[in-house]
Amino acid sequence: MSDNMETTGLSGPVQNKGKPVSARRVLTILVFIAPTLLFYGFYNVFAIAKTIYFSFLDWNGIMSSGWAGWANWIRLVHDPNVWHALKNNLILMVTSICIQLPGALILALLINSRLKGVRIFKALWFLPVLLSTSATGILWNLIYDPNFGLLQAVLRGIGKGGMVKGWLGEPAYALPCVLLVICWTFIPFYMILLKAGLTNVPGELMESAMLDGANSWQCFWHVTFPLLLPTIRTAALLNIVGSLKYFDLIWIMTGGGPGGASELVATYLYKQGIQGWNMGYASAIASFLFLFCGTFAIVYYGATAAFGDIGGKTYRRTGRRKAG
Amino acid sequence: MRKRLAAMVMAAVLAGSSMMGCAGSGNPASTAAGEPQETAPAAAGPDGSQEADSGVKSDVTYTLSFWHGATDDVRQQMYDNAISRFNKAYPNVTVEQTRLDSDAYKTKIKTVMGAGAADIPDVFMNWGGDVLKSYIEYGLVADITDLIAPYKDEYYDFEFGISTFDDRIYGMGIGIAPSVVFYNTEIFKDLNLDVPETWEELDTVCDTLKQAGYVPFALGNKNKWPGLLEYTMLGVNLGGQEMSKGLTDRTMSFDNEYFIEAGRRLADFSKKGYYPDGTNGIDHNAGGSRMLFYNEVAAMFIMTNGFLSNCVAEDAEFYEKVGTFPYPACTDSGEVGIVAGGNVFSISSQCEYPEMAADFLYYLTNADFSQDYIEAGNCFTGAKDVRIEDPLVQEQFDNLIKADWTQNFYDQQFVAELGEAFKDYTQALYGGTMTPEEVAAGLERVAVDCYGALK
Repeated sequence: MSDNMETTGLSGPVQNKGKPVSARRVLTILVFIAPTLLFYGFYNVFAIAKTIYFSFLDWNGIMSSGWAGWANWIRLVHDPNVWHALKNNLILMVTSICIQLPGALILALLINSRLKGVRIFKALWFLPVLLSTSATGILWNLIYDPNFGLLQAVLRGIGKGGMVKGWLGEPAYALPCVLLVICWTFIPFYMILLKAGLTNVPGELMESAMLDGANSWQCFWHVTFPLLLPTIRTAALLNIVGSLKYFDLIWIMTGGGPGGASELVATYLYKQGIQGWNMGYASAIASFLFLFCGTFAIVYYGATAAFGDIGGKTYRRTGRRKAG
Repeated sequence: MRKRLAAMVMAAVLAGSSMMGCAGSGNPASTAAGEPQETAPAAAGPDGSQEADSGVKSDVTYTLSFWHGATDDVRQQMYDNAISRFNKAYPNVTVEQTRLDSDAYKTKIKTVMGAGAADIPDVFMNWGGDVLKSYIEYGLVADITDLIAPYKDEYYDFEFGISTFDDRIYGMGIGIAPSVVFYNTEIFKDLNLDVPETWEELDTVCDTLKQAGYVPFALGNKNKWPGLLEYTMLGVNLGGQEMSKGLTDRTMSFDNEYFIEAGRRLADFSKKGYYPDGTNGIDHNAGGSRMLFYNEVAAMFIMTNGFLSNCVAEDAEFYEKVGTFPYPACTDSGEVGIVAGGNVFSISSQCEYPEMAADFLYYLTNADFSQDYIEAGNCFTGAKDVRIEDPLVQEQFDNLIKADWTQNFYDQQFVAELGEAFKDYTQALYGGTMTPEEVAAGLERVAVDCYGALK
């Protein structure tokens, strides 16, 4: 914290290291962070606290019939839909980590290499990120359409018409079909993230490894990958939290259906709160989701702490010192 | 000193710029984070209007807030025309419009209802049914029965069908859309098929179509409500008004014989493959089901009257081939019920000038407005003196006039939670993942949750 304060000050550079921070300075800092703090406080901290309070009300969004005690929470524990939705979230999380991150890593390595035409691919692969989510959803809905869609046309064209299904309309296929689209959307995003991580891998390190006779796989496994771990760790965290509170593509493509087959916790809570007028219960689901995500993220961050520090930062710091 | 001043100015600019994001979004946080209210707002008078002096003075300027869902230019123009006619009678009234897309509208109107009566627009759009009824029970909507009494003769009864509760009127309808079966007259002619008059005949027609390689019904049930239409029609035809009333006032349970039978017939059709493959994944809003109908893959289409305006816009050539018939009778009771829903305009119980607002409702629904609507969008209000040239539109109009009673869509007739359950279970019924008995029992459970046990 004190590090930050010193660099935020107006009057002087870093000369006053160690001196106590004056009250005036604190005031200045406060004035500067006040707008953000106000917004953060109101829209995040206050809103979360309020949601937890709402979860104890019997409230339909218009009029409250009063304090409900633990009723909403008890209902949540006994509601099979919530657990079914949470299971789908976990499926989404596992597939995301197992498919998106390795896929993104491969693409990042490819665009980081000096292969010919790589710049075009960089732009092409990045396209899904630039499309708005609703456009992506509608586009893929049309591709999946069992009567007019591209996919059925291709399948029928190669004589596999028997494989045509009402993909988004059948409980067994709906979730996997949307998962595929989610991967398609997010792989390029993580690709860019990992590509940024790759640029931090110093060339001289790679060079010396080559001089020591390491082949390209050994270079990757023993040099690039360990240096990339902190970035992967962050990417995985984004992935986990993103998967647990995911909403958009599922909502646009299947609405959680058919018959709840692709329901996620977030779509279920939206249905309960906004469409079903059960604001109290929806608040309980939202609070539960918040607590679940928070716990998961903290545990994950603690468990992977070891990977956070052996990367490029340590190397760069020592490297710079030597150079200086 | 100067530095400090500079810092303060900077901070102020920062604060200002971060506020910018909020500007223009109307009343922000106060409504969004509205506290649940423990008590109903000051109850309106027995007739909903307040006993304030109603005399609208000519030398004062008034503002009437008006919320609606016409986001397209065509309908916006119709509203603008209605407002200018209204302004001829009330030159000193400014109508302040807020227009929002349907889903955003539903969220926003509910938020202001929750925030308390003071923020409710004077005149607002809704969909009638139990949602409107909830607002009425909280004392948020004005009873307009007496206010519109002078105009009532200018309308057919269906104008008030979905906004009347216990014989009191709480809104006036526009774009009341009856649901019927649209069919491809050429396919019917080719296969020598007659329009079915009983449900058994419909079954035979479907079977013939299926044999000939057609999908009998186009249906995009990803959105759930399109599939609910036929369920509602079967319910209307089998159980009649008696069941509709019974389900609403909780004297009849959902697992009654008529309702289960309606589910059985739907499941039977689904099992026989009368709907497109993967119907639960076909997006009606994106046109998936209409494409099946236009491309002559499917021969029939159960839809609201709104289909006629879609069809003219999307495939005018195909429009020439479209015919309609009412969903065939399942019993020989002779009673004709019609499934119809639409938009309703209501007045806030807190509106300061209910008489003036009621007059505004009149201008929004009268024959002039309806005429505009017929010409622009093949839809209409319940106003009497209109000219209809298109025989298909005339047919829909006649269906509504002929009907003995109007059934709102099931998802609008009941409270939101039950409406949602209805939609989910119907999807399961089409998909074959739930039996009609399970659906009926499931709905009954939700109904007990929402309304309490049977009376």
